[in-house]
Amino acid sequence: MIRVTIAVIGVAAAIALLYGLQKTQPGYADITRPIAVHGALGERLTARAFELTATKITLAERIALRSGTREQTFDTSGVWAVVEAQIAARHESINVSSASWMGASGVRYTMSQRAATAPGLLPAERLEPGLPRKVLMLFELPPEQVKDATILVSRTPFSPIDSELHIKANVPTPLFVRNIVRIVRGTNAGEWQLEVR
Amino acid sequence: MPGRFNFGALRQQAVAYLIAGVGAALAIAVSFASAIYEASQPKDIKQIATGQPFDTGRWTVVARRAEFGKQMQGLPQTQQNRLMVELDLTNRSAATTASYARLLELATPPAGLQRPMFYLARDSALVIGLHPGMPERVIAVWTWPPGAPPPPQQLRFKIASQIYKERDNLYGAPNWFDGPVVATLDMPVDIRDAAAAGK
Repeated sequence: MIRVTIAVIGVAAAIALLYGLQKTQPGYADITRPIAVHGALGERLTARAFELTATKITLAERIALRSGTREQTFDTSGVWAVVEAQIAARHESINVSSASWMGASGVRYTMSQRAATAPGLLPAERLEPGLPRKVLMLFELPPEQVKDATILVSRTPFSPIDSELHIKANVPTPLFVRNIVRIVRGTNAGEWQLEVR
Repeated sequence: MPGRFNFGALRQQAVAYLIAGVGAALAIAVSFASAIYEASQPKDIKQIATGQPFDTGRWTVVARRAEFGKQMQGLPQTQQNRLMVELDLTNRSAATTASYARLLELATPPAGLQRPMFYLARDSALVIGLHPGMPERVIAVWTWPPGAPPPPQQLRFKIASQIYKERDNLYGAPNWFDGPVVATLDMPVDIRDAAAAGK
């Protein structure tokens, strides 16, 4: 009798344990998630293949690109977030092509590719080891997603088990949204600067 | 020579397999029957009108207007006739995406019709990704096959949905998948160019 009871209890315990394991199993996305490196604006963060320091975030209603005498303006239904950063490769020449703005609610906004001919955009810059470059990341966001956000930068959009930088974007409230940010090419090739109005 | 073949043990083994297999057989039968039942139920397809917002799972679609001709303001001019449909799209998913290619399809397309290209009305340039929660006016452009007759005054479109699965069937990873057609839309087409109507 005792042996039967012990057997029944054993089977029940096994069922409960297995059920618990099944319910709490991490999904494929969690198992292959990129490894986060946390930091804030102004800090130099080290990923596996590159190092990045996000320096400044400017909010604007419009972005303008001047090429020669023509000026192309991009407006949006939300705001533009223009993020400036210094980035350098660590071991070999690479292109870092993925950056997204993750709002407080977890919604991700990938870099905008509307102003694709702008100088200094992160995906277009070829990074060499030990030579830091100044780069730009442009995001289009609804104004509610600007506060308490995180900027995620990784080498490629799908980078399982590679590193991903999580940069806390401390944008002071109330939001100071400029009228227009102009990206102006400098005299030498590859040079550019921002004019903020 | 070995002993006589032991039919008793064989029968016992067969009975054991049978009992063990009953559960599995029942599971297979139930899932097969439920799949057939679900497939046999007709899905109700809604009829929507222009200007009516409609939720297709991943996108909220509002159809604005349709035009047929060689030129539409703001788009590059071409020699071929094009069917252009203006839509307001809002991305309801949690990430920027460009997967609206199958959103709108003609119910009776002419032979040789290719997939549409989508232009952002703001820039008059091809769309590369729409952001969550930000409604945008988008123009879907079908290049009309050269020999085909022009579309009728009222054109019917099918609107397909997309479903989100927390765990897909292959990797157990979360993803969006193409779903069934959930709505039809009858739109009046503004046929520009008398020449286009004649061709």
